[in-house]
Amino acid sequence: MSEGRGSVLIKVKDVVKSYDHGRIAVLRGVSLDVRAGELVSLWGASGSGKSTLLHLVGGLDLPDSGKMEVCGLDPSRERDRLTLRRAHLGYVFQLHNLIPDLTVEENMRIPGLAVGQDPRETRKRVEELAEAVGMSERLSHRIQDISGGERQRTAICRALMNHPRILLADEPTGSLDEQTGDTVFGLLRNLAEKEKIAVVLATHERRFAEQCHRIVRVRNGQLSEL
Amino acid sequence: MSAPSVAEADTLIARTVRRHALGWLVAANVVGVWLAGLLVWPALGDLAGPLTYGRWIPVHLNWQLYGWCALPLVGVLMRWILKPQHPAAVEHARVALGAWSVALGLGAISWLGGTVSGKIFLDWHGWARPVLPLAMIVLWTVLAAHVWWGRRQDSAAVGLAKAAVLTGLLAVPTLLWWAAGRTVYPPINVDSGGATGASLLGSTLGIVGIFGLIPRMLGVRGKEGALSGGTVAVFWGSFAVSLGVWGAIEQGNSSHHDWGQILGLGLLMAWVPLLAWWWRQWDWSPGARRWMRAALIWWAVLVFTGWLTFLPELSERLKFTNGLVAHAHLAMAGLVTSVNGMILNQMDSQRPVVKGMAWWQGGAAVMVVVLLVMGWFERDHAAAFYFGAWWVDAGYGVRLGAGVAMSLASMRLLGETRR
Repeated sequence: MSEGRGSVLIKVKDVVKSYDHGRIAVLRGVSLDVRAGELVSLWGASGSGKSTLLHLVGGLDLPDSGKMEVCGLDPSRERDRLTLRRAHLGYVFQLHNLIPDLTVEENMRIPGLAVGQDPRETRKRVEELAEAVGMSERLSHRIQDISGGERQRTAICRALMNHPRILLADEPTGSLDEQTGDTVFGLLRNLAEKEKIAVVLATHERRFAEQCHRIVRVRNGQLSEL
Repeated sequence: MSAPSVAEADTLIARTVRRHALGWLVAANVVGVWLAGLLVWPALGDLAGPLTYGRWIPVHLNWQLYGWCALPLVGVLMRWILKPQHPAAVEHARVALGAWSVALGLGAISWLGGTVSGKIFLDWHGWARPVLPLAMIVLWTVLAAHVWWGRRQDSAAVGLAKAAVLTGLLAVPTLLWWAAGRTVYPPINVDSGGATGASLLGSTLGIVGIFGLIPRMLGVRGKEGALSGGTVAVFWGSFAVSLGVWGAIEQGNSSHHDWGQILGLGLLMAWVPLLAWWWRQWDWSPGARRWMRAALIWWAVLVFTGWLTFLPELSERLKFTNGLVAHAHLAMAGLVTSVNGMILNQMDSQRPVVKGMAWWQGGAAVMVVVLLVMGWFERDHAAAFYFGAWWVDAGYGVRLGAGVAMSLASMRLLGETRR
């Protein structure tokens, strides 16, 4: 465990997850703690269970058994999931999942809608985030008119819109070229260190995993710290 | 208590069908009003907690389809097959309709709990997947028993026709169960995700076939007594030719840019006058005729606009927008509801339901127009729908008003049944 970090934001204890009525065991009783300000990589081959673990922590799927606590809430409980998604969690997907008919700025504003954010505050936050990721000049562009790296930066801004305490990133560099991947990764590391956000990054790329504070290897449904 | 007479039993069965069908129409409409309200005031969704817009949508859609749209057709089958001479015929109808309604109630519990297949109108999933197929088996068993009991009263041809229809219906529960599977998909154009012209033509011809059979199955007489062989041959001959065209055009992954698909779907245009001509050959009750006139107007608008919106450019502009929702309301709130009004009034011609009709038709027309206009602007102004531009809120407001009018109309129609 890294020293000098904040409180534990993610607690996963003996979590089991399988698909196809138990025939495909993906996670076999895994445990993991993540603290505020930590950048943790879940490193493993495709199909090893990295995304499944992120989905469980992010409340996108339910475990078969085991306990989870995220920001003091249980993501397997419906009411808690609502609060988690709106207030505490940001999610970045490999293929961005942006709304193509909207502009960069409009995509960033979407999470603000869910919490009834004041439009002036939303505008300020959009400008602040766009500046931080170098997208200020692109705010009025539609998603189909920007590059893959810019889309991923937009997705990161969207995930950060509501000041989350945790950022879950599922292969955020997987669809990007090397240079753009480095830029996006640097951005995530800065977030963890400067804003004390817990960042959990699923990746199969060792070079990114090695630059994180902790590397958690996912293999055969088990986690092991490297 | 003595068994009701044949006429009384027929009427009691007709009124039981009406109560179930209109009851589900009212219930589905109330849910629809709630959904329309959420579009105007999204913050209301927070009050309902996990029962979000997405949870209520399958309730609204499936109650409309399997409740309101389907049950009058179940009534047609009952009128054709059930033997009102049987002392327990009314009870048999009540059991079958009761099982159907219980299935719809159980389905709603599942959907509101978040258990769905993810396939629109085939949301039955998990423990709820077999409930409607089971209700269909109950209905089938009742119908089969009556075909057996009535085998000596029917002519050989009628008996054979009933046996053939029952044999076909036997496949429906299994098909419904199978089609609700998450790995089963209909024929679509994989590039656009839209239906192919062939699948739209095939499914609509299926509906034309049902529309063609309805008067005979309801026992409506021809205007001049028996229909001439020529009249019957023109209608069903045209139907056979249409099926031939459907069979000849590409059935797989075809684009809406293919002329074969466009012209094939355009064939439905011929069915606008043909259906009107066919239905006018029958001596409908006065209450049924009013709904029939409305049905024929909706049918013409549906076929024409459906074909237009299949065309390249228009299809791209309207797909996944409120324009598609307009088309769905045109089909179900307009056409099917009017056909069902016709059926229910024909089944119980002594007590026609008409008082809510004008409000219903007016509300449906306003809703369709508003949704179509909103859909037209949606592609170029997507952000207005996310962030609530004034004209979007106004459009949803009018839609809510139309929905309230339609709900009140449906309550009035149900009230007429219960009076």
